[in-house]
Amino acid sequence: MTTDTRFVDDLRPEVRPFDPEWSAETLTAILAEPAAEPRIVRPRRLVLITLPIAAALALAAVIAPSLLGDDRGGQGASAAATEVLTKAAGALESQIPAKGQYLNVKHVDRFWVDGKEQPNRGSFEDWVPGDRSMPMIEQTTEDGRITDTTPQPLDEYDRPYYTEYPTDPRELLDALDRAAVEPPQDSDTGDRAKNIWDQAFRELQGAAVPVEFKAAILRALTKVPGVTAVPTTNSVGDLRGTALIFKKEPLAFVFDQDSGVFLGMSIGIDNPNAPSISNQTTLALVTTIVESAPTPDYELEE
Amino acid sequence: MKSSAELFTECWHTDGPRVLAYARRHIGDDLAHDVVADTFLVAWRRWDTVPEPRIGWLIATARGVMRNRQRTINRHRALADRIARLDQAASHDVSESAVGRQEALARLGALSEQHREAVLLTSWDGLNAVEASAALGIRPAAFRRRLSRARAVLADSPGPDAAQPHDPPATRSTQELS
Repeated sequence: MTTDTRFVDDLRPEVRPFDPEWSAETLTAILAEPAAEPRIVRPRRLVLITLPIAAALALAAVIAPSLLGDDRGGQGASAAATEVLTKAAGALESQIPAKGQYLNVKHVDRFWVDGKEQPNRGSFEDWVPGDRSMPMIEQTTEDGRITDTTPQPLDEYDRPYYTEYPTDPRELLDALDRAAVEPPQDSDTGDRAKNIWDQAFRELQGAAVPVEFKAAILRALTKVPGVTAVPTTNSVGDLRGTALIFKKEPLAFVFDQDSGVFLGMSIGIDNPNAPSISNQTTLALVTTIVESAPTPDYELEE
Repeated sequence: MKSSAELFTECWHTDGPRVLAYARRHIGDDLAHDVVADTFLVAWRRWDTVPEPRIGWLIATARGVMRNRQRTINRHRALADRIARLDQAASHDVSESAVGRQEALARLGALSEQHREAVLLTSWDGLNAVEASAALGIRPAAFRRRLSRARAVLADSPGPDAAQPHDPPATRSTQELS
C-alpha cells in the first residue's frame, strides 16, 4: 500500500491535436449552422434579478404558462395521469424517514440493444438518513461483490430550490426548466417542456432529493398538457404498472397502479408515440424505510 | 474586436482537444469525435451565453451530449470496462512497466464514479476546482471535499489483486445520468 497518488499524473493521457482534415470539415460545418437566437429564459432571468421581488413574481406568473404551451384555460395532464400523479405524490409523502431511520433506495437497471438484454454486473444502493445533517451512504455492488460503501454529504446534492421551491406549480416547473439548462446539462433542443420532463426525472430518481420536493414535482406535472397515462408494455423489462408519457418523449415514468408508488422509469419502451430506438432501458427503484445503514469504508473529513 | 466566429474558432482549437480527451475516456474512440462536434455545435448555438472559462461549460455540455446519446442510466460501469477505457484514454508512451501500469489503472478504475471523476477532471483534464465544480454542477467547496476524499481513498486503495483488472470487458458502456 502506498500513500503516494502521483501515479495518476504519470498516467495522464496526452492531449492530441485534432486531425487537421476532420477539424477543418467539422468546424466549417458547425459555423455554417445559424447561431441560435438568445434563449428567452436568459433575458427574463435578468429582469427577475433586477426587479423588486413582487414585480418579478407577477412577471413570472404571466410568462410561466407560455412555457408549456397554451394552458391558460386550466388544461393540464389527462385526467388519468392527474389521478396517478396525485396518488403518487401521496405515496411518496408516506415514505419520509424519521430521525434515526433511513430511506433505502435500491437502483436496478436493465438495458437492451435491438431487443437483446445486455449483461449488467453492477448496481448501487443508497441509504438517506432522516437527519439530513448526516451523510448519505452509497454502496456499489459489482458481480455480487460490494466494491465500496461511501459516505456522501447530502449538502453536495442540495439545490436551493429543494427547500425554497415555489408553491405555485407553474413556477416550480419554471424552476425545473432553469435547473435543466444552467449549468448546461443536455444538448439544446429548444424545447423547454422536454427540459422539464427530463429534469423531473433527474430529481425523481435521485435518492438524496427531499421527498417533499419530489411530491411537489409530481403535483406540478399535473399542469403539463400532453402528459397522459398508458399501461406499461410487456415487450421488455419488468416494470409493470401505469406509465406516464409525454408527447413523443421516449422517457416514461412508471407507477404502481394501485398504490401509486413510483417504481422507476423506462426509455424507449412504454410510449407508443415515441420514435423507435434500438437502445431500451428500465430503471427500477425499490424504496423502503429501514432502521440502519451499512458502515462506510471511511469517515468524512470535517 | 474579434468576431464570434473567430473567438469560437480559437476555442475550438484550444479547448476542443481537451474535450476530445475527456470524451474518449468516457465513451471511447469511436464516438468521441461525434461528442466533440455535438458539444461545440451546442456551444455555437449558445455562444453569446457560454461563460468564461469555457472549458468547465464545455465538459458539462459534453457530459450531457454523451448522456443524450446513450440514453442509459447505469452509474457504475463494470470495473473491467472502466479500466479498459482508462487504458485506452491513457494509451501513450509511458515509463511504467505493463504490470505497474495495469496496477495503477486498476486502482484508479476501482474508485467510485464520483471519486474517479473528481481525480481525473483535475489530474488529467487540468480543470481547477471552480471549473470542475461547474462541470459537475456542484459547488466548488463541495468539489474540493470530494477530491480530498477521493485522493484519500486512492492512497489507501489496495493493489491489483483486489481490483481484478483482468476480468473480461463488459459489453455495456453507460453513463451517469445525473
